[in-house]
Amino acid sequence: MQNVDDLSSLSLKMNDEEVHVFFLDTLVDVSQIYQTVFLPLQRSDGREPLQVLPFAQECQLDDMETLMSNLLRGHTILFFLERNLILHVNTFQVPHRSITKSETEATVLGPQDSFVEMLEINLSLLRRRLATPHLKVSSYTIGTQAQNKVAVIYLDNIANAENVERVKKRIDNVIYHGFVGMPVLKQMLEDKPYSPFPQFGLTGRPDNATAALLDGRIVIMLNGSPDAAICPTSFLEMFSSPEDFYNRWSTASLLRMIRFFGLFITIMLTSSYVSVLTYHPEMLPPALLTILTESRSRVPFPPVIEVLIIELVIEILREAGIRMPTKIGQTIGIVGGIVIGTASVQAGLASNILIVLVSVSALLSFVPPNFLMSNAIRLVRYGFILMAGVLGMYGQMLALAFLFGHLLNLTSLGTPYMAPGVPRQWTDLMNSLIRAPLRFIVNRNRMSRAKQKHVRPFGED
Amino acid sequence: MDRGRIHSLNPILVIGLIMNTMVGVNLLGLAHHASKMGYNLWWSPILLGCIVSLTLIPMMALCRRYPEDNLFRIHEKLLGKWLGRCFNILIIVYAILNVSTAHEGYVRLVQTSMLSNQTVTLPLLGLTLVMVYITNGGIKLIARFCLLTFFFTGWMIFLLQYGFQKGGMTHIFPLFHTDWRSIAETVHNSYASMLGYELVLFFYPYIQDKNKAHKHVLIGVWIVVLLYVMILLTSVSYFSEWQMDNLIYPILNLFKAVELSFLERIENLGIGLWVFLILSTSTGYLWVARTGLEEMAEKTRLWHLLVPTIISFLFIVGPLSVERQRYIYDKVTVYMAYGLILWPIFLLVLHSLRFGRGERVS
Repeated sequence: MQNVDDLSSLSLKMNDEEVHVFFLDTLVDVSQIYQTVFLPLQRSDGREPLQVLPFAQECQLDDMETLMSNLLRGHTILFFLERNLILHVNTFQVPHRSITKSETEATVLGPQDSFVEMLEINLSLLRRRLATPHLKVSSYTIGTQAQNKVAVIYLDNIANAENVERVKKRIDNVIYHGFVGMPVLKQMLEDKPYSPFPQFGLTGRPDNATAALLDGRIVIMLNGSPDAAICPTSFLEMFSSPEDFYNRWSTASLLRMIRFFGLFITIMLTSSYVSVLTYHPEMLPPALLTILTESRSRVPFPPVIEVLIIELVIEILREAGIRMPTKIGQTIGIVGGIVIGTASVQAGLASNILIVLVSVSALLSFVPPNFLMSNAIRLVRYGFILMAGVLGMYGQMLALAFLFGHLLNLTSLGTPYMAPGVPRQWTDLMNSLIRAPLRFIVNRNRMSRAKQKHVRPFGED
Repeated sequence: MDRGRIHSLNPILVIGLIMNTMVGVNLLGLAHHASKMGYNLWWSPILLGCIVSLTLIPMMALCRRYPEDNLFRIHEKLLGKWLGRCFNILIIVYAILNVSTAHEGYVRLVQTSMLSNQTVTLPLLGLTLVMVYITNGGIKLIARFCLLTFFFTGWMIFLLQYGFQKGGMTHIFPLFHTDWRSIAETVHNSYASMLGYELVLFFYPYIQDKNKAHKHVLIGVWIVVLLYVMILLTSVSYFSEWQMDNLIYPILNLFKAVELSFLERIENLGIGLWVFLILSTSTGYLWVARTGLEEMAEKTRLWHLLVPTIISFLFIVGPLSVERQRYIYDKVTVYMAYGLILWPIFLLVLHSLRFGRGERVS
C-alpha cells in the first residue's frame, strides 16, 4: 500500500497493549470510527478485543487478499501485535446522491423515486416494496481490476430456475477489467452483442424493476450504476411504461399503440418521402403532389440527399442539446428548430414539408420509454432512407423484411425476442399492444416461464 | 450438424410455413395462368386443393414411417448411399431452381413496374442477401418469418372489396361451362401456384405434434385455397375474359381498382409488400438446398448456404438468356415438382418391400 495517501494508520493503546489501526479515510466517516472503534477500545477495562468490538470479525493471519479487499471496501483493520490477532470492522460510510425523481423515465402518476449509484440503497428500494423472504439476492464480484459488486435479484418461488442459472453462468463467464455502468455489463451478458437492439430491459425505476420481479424476471444490478437490467424481455415490452398500469386501461392501450406504431411511422415516414418522390410520384394524389413539388421546386438536391442532410442536422441538434449546459440548451432549441429550419427552407436547401416530416419522425423516435430502443430506431432509420434512395419502395420493404428477420432471430436470455407476437401467446396479448383491464390479466407473461402461472387465484371467494 | 433433434415447429408455425411457402410469385399471375377455363377459373383452386390433399397422403405416410428423418436421409436409408445421393443432388437442383423461379419472376416485375431505369442486378442482390440472412437462422426463423408475413400481407385481402364492388358477380354463371381438356390445361398451368407444400418432406422432423401434422398441413393448404378462390372470384367479377387471357399480372390490375383519397397506384405498395411472400417462399427452398448439402457433407458449414445462393443468383443474372430461363422455370421446375410430389409413392412401395408395411424406421 505505497503511494496510497488516503490510507490512515494510527496506533493506540488498549489495556496497555499496542493496537495498529488502518483505514481508508475516503471510504469511512472518521466520527463514526471514533464512536464504534476508538471509544470502545479505550473503555475496554481488560476485556477481550472481540468482546469489546462485538461487530468485528477475525481475519486469518496469512490471508492478505481478504484483508486488502476488506480495507478497500471501507473496513477498518485492527492489528493486535501482542496477541497476533487481526480484526476488521465494517465502517463503510460515504456521501451519496439522494433518491430523486427519474429523469429519463419520468411519469406523471405513480411512485417517483429512482435508483441511485449505491447498490445497498437500490436493494433497499426493492426490499421495501417486496417484503417476502422469497426475494433472493446473489452477489458476485466481477471486473479483474475494479472488483465491481453485482447483484442478481429474483423471487425464487416465481422466477424460472433455468433462467436464473443462465444469468449466473453468464456473469461467471464475464472477464473484463472493470465496469463503469450497468449498460456496459449488459452488453456483455446479452445474447447477440452485435445487434443494434437492446435485448435486456434497462430501467432506473424501482417500480419497473418490482413489476418485473413479480412477473418472474431476473433483475441484475451493479454497484455504482443507477440502472437495473431486466431479463428476459421482449421487443414489445420496450414500448411499455410503468405508467400504463397507473392509467386507466383504455388510455394506456391508446398510448401503447401510439408508441408502437410510432416506431413504424418514424422509420417509414422520411424514407417514404424519398422513395415516393424519387421513384413513384404517381402514388400521390394530384393535390398532394402539387404541394410537394412546389415546396421542392427550388431544392437542388435529389430527395435522398435532402433527407439525409436534414436528418443529420436534427441528430446534431439532439446531440448538442444533451451536451449543452441547461441555460444555453433552450437557445439551441430555438436556433435549431426555428432559425435553421426556416432559413434552410427559405434558402432553398430543403422543402418545408420535409422539415415537418423530419420533426415528426424525430419526435416519434423519442416516444419509446426505453432510451436504448429509441437510439436503435434512430440508427435503423438511416438504413431505410438509404434503401429507399437506392431501390424505392421495394428497397424500403426489403429493409423491413430484413429488420423483421433480424428481430425474429433475436433472443433475450434464450427466449424469443418477438414474443408474444411471433411465436404467439394469446394470453400475453392482453398485456402487449393493448393493456387490458386488470381483471383480464390473469397470467404471468409466458416469456418469463414463471413457476407460478397465475397472478391471482381463480377461486370465487 | 442440425439433425432436427430439437422439435421447434408448433402447429401454428407449421400452418404458417405451409401457407407462405405456397403463396409466392405465382399468385401474381394466377388468374392469367388459369385463364383457359374462362370465367369458370374461380373454382380451379378447389380442384388443385383436392389434388394437393391427395398427393399429401403418400407424403405424410412416408414421413410417419421416418419421423426423425428428412427426405435426404430417407433416400440414403432406402436407396443406399450412392443412389440416394444422386437423387439428393436432383432435389438440391430442384430447390435451387425454385429459389431462382421465385426471385426471377418477382425481380423482373419490380424492375418493369417500379424501378424501370435500373437493371435487375441490384434489386436481386438485395433480395438474395436478405434471403441468406433469414435462411441462416434455420427452419425456426423461416417459420416465424412466414407467420409474420401472414400478418403483414394478409390484410391485403380486404383490398379485394374494391375490385369486387366494381365488378359483376353474375360473371360466374354458368357455373360449369367448360370441358375436361381446358380443366386439365388449367390445372397444369396453375399447379405451380400450389407448390411449396412438398417442403413438408424436409421439415417434418422438426414438427412438434407429429400425430396431427397431416391435419395442420391440410389446414394450411385449404386456407391458401380459400384465399385463391377469393382472389379469383374478384378477378372473375372485375375482369373480362380477354383481360384475364392477356394480362400477365392480373393482381396488379386488381390493385388499381383500389381508390383511396390519400394514396393512388397502391400496386406499388402491393408489389413492395410482396417481397415478404417471395422471401417466405425462397428461404424455404434455400433451406432445403442447404440441408441437402449438409446431409451430403455430414457437417455444417456456411458455404453450404452460400453455394446454392450464388448458383441461384448467377442463374438469373448469368449468361443464360431470358427465354431459356423462362423455359426452365415454367417447364423444367414444374415437371421436377411433379416428380418430387409423386416420388413418395415409389418410396412407400420400396419401403414396404424392404421393411414391411407401416414399419417405423428412425
